[in-house]
Amino acid sequence: MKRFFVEAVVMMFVMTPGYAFSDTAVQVGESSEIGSLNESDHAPAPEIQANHLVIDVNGVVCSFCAYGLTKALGKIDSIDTSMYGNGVRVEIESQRVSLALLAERAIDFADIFERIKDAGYDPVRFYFNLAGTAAQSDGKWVVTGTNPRQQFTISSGSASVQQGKFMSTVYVDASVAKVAVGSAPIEVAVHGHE
Amino acid sequence: MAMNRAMRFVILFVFAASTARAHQPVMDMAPRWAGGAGLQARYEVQVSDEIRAGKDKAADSSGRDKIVHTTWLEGVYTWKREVRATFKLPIIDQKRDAVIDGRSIKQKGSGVGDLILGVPLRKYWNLKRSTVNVGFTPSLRAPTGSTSGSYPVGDGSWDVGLSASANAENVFWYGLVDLFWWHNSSGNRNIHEGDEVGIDINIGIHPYHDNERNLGAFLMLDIESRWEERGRDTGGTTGGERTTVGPVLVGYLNNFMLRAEAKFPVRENVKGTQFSRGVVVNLGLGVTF
Repeated sequence: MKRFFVEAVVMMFVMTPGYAFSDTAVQVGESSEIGSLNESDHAPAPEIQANHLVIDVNGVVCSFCAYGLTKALGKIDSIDTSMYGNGVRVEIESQRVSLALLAERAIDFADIFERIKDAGYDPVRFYFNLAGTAAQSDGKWVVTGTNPRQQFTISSGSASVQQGKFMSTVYVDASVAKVAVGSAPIEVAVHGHE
Repeated sequence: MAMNRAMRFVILFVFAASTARAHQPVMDMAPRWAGGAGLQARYEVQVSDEIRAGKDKAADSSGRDKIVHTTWLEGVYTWKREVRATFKLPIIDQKRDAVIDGRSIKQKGSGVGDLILGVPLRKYWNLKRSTVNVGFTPSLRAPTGSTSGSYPVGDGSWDVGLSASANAENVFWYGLVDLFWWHNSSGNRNIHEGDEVGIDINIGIHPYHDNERNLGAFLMLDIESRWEERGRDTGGTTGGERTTVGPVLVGYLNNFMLRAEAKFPVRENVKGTQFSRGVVVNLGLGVTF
């Protein structure tokens, strides 16, 4: 009996596909620095449609299991439910979740972060197209967004920013999104100019 | 082989019964979201017309058969992905030809069987291209089934045990290994099936998925081996070693899932003289919400 248990435990770990352990776990809050975008960390950077938020999410390999994720995100106030059935599209091949958003609303990153965590998955990065006006404040570039309607500070890729009109694809790392509450400016990185 | 008292003492968790599969309702891993729930109805039929004596087919096998129809009502609630609660309730209709004291008699029984409650506990790792989890599931089988009649659907005993599982999957591959152990107490009418250990392996692929419609399918191979101590029920001796193999097909559309599987015995070494496990076919429909 003892020998059986030992052999069974060994078999259990041998049978679990080894590829699953070859990936490097990405834990929220660990070394996921803004500006350190590595194109090979996830699928290649997404093309962002207007009024969309595209989120890299670890663990979404089965859409049946992600039904709760779809359901939870579909209840967000700023979701445009006229697209994708309820405004949410899950792509398991790229492990990305796309949210269709109503134009010119603020994005509640912290709320979206928690909904994804409650669904059993780990958000990694939030991509969106930011349109607004850029100005310098205390040595930092601040973008007052018109779409979405909220303020952002550029923490990486600022070399590409100029005073005045701003329109670019940016991203928010999960560690920032998690604590993005209230009206404080949210740190973003300009995609492609890190 | 007897589970010694020290082993029983060490086992702190309660566990799954001999007639219960190691799998949890609704594709094992669903629902994954906090506050989610799932229900599943699963029809199972077991058919055997072969008598085994140890490793061999018994000389006198002709004309005897055993058929067990079970409708399982199963459910799961997820407080959070790490903690779930499950129930499985069988509704049984069964018959068999038994030989008691040299006489061949027909036995049958039907009704609600023994309720199984489980608490799957899991630890998850969401990786860049895959998800992995390990878990322990304590379960309890309650003596809710009747022990009357020639072929009772319950045995009148409280049974306990533990399973340990490991699961890993990515977009294309799926793997699950489950080790289970249970202690079967002595029941009514001298029914006392033996303690059991086993291993259940599912390996498969996810060959089809449609993001737009949330439609897809899994195709897997199920391999199960179990070792059961010598015991007894109203039909005679129970226990032995059995290995079964068979295909599993799972299809899903949004939050609905259909599961079909068949199991075939590939190796049996029974205690005394017993029916072969025979062919077991399952068809289940589940929904999560």
